[in-house]
Amino acid sequence: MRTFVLGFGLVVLLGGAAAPAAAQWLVTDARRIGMGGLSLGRSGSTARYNPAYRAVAEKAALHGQPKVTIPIPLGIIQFLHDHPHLSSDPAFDYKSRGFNPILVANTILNLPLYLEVKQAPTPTNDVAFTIGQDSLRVNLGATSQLVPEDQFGISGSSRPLDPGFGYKGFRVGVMGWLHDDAELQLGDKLLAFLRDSVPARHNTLYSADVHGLVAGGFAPTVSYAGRIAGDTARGFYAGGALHYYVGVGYGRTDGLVGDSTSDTLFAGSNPVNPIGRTLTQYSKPGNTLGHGIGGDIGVAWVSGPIEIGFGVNDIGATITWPDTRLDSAFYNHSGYSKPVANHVETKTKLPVSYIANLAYSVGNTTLGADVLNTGRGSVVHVGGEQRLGLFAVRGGVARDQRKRIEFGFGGGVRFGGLGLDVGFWTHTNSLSNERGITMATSLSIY
Amino acid sequence: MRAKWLCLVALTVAAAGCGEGRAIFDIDVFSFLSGAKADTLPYVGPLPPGVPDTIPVQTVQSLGLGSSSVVDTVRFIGSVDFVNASGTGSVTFAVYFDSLKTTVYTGTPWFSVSGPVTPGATTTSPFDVDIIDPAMKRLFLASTVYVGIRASATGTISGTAKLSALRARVVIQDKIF
Repeated sequence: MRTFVLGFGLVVLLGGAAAPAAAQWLVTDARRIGMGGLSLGRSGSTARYNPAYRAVAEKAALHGQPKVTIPIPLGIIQFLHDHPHLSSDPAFDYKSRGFNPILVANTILNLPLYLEVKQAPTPTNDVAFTIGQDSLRVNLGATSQLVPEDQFGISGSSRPLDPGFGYKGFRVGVMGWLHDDAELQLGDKLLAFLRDSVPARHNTLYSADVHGLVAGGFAPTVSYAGRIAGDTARGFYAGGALHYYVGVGYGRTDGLVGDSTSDTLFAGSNPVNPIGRTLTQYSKPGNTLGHGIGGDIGVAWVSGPIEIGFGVNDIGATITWPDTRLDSAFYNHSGYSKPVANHVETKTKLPVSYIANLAYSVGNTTLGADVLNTGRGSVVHVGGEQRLGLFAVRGGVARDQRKRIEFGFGGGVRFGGLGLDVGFWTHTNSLSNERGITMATSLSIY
Repeated sequence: MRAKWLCLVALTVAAAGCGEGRAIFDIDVFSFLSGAKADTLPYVGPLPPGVPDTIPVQTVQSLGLGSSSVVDTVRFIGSVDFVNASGTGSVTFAVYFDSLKTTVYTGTPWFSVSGPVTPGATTTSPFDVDIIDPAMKRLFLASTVYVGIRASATGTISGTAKLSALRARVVIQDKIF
């Protein structure tokens, strides 16, 4: 039972945390946080998703950006204060009965780098369960709003390594790539039962659709980035990359998990009647390699104080896997798996990502905006900075992948080549619609 | 009990989200007993040798929350009708719960309700009982609870005790994790 509780709690947590995690985590620059997560110049996401930015000169002075940012992880102090004996803390010891995977997952998804200034509150309402031999109804109250109506999950497409060499704008390299995607969608009946307090019915399947995929490999890449027109003060830049994706391995499963009620809701000695149906496809490392071709394009225009960019990644990146095995699995009281086919060809597709950014810097003022979509909804950042002598004040607004508005604000002080920045960022978690506030601090070297 | 998982799913959502809120379970014990036709129990006094004054032990699917949860309240609300056929006296209707099927009737009843009976009349005895003993409260955290009923007669009487309602209200604090 506890395993089940923790398991489902993890799903709720991961589902809710996925979007903010993708949008926020590992941003260690307090200055950027103070501007609502805005990426400026070649910082943040712009260089990653727009190949033209490889040719755009660093506008460090123009944007007031430091050369190096060193995070000051005050949140770790707070975390260690809360968990002084981490090695013996039962919540983090998987062998302990007190092991709490939800806390562990939450710690990983929300790395304690930042100081939690204001905790996002969780609902504290009562929840009611009405149980009879042939009746079951749940009223979760305000907590029912936590039940996700839409598909939720975690996905990402990363390029962990990209070694190579270049000459006059051309570059040849080998890029690592990794794509992961985990999704869950509650069925209508289960959703109504949990969210709308609809009583359980006889002979009804309460289920959720599940999907998981992980694929990885490397991609020999030829790319170009250069200024097409103009000069360093006013120029138009373009970039492109052609990837030959080589797939080392992948696994994918799609299906349905749930349970069905019988003629009487609570009858017999069998407490659960789980049902699972999945189709699993995989090409293990060592099988024939997958292959595919795709590309990135990007443009950037710099004109005095204005900078505009647009980039698209993984266009047409469909990977063909020539040696795939397909297995179907079915579970109802007992399970079995049946091979469907082997040595067949299947295809996977990398999500197309795009970024659009705009920056305006004049005098001691910098304003900017960017939109980033990595295949699971757009993240929008709008922010700015005003430098006042030694000091700087910053503010920004972000809309995350769950379409929630978050706010950033902060400031900094600079002494010659050294600066100290503080940034505050509101955030919501999967358990509440109310915002918490985290504080990030970092040292900057100019 | 195939719907139990639904309860568990709901409970996990509640557990993840309800913070310091409470989980309130309203369990219709009567429905489980009547479904097994164990809601009616003849009584006779004095009890002849070899005649049982109890029902077969019944199984009630409970919460299954484990020992880390804190039970705030366990309350039983219901009513029993003593349909008396003959004689004048009193009848005691006792309800037992236990985590082991074999020991349900060996201990003291969790609660009992008595009523005077007269020939040809039906006596209705409602009850509303709060369980105080912490150990007894915690019993409902188990996934399965066994229930038994005993009807004992005082006087030379005979009739039937019919349970018409029995609901258990269990309130737990949020310490599922």
